[in-house]
Amino acid sequence: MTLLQRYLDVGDEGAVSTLVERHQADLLRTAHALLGDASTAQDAVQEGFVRMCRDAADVVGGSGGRTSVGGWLCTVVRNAALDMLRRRRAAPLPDQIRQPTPPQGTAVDDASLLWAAVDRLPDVERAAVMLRFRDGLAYDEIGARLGKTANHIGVILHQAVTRLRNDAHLAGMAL
Amino acid sequence: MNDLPPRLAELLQCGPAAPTSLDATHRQAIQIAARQAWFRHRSRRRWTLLTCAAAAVLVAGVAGWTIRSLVEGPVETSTPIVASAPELMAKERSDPAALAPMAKSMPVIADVETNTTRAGEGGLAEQTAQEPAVAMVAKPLEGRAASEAVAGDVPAEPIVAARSERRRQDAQPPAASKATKDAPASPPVMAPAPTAVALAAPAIAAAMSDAAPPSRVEIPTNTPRFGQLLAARATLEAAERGELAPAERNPALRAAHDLIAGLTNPPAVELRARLDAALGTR
Repeated sequence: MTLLQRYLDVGDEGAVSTLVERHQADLLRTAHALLGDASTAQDAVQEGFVRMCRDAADVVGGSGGRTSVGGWLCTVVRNAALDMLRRRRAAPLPDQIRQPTPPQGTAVDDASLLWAAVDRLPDVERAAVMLRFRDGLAYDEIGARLGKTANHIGVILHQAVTRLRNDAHLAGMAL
Repeated sequence: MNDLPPRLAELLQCGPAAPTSLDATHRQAIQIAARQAWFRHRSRRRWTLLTCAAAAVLVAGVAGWTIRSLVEGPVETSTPIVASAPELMAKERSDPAALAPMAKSMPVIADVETNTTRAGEGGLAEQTAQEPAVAMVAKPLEGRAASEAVAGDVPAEPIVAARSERRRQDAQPPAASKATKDAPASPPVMAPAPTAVALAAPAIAAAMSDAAPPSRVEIPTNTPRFGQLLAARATLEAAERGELAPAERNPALRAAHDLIAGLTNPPAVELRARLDAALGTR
């Protein structure tokens, strides 16, 4: 908060750079888990930092100064990523550009089948699976990034794992 | 449970990793946005400060005014000088010294007709220019108008009314004024309204002379435009007492002469003769 206050008081851009260095990795991980695309994730994180600069006075003065910049940024980036997902669904890619689904009986590797199954998961479930099994985060950390409680993350992960198991079983993957 | 089979977990760990840092383009965009946002913050803060300062000054002013009015009470305004010319003339004759204090606070009248100072003509005109503006009104002043006239604020409407009154009098045939003079029993037809000039001139004359001046030209109150006569007489008497500066004397006398140039009644003729004599001596 002091960094953001310093930026507000004297316009110190170094304070903003320090905040970027401090929070960018977590934010990129969350945005990438939601979006599944590195460049779009960077756009979402950039949007979060730009909003932080624009609304710095509210962030500093909000909730009596007890607002966490990291938590605030995480919320903004998550919402930006979800907005991008909605826009992406509103304007779907042409069929020929989409990832082709391998036909039944075709010999494809297990990784492709798994990622295809992950892509079919709902957004929050996909993000929870990525943060849990790719990045190894605990439930409460995942809940903090996705705006859910730890128990809710447990439920979400249970549903996601069930779907993945079924898909893998249908695809004939060797578990 | 929520644990994936080991094979699936292994495959997920080998998946595409999330980027750990922003690239240079995104960093630069954030820096630019930060700079612009800070300038907006600063301008907004300045406006806020200015607004607060203005509001504080306003509140302080209102509070000060309120406290002052509570402590000092309502401000009393000076009593406007409202008197009719005959009353004032009578008072002047009976007790000239009583009007002296009032006369000292009133300006000298130079040009009754136009209420202009006529720069370059000197004399009383210049004196008037150094004094507060003189109220030239053609109707009795009452209330606020009277106080404004005393304070030096000359309402434009009475001046226009005075000029139109003067034009109306000039347009009257001489026979009408003569008939008016021949019938003293009837109420005066012209009955010049007591003007500020009429109020001021006798007072000035009384203030300028401790004793009654010798050989005064007696001006009846029902003489047409006696205000001009009074002003011209005051100028003449001031010149006779040597109260006018040498450079101002002749222009002032000429201005007084011009002031009564169109009048043909005996007091005006006598006064004009005296003014001619005074001008001819120098």
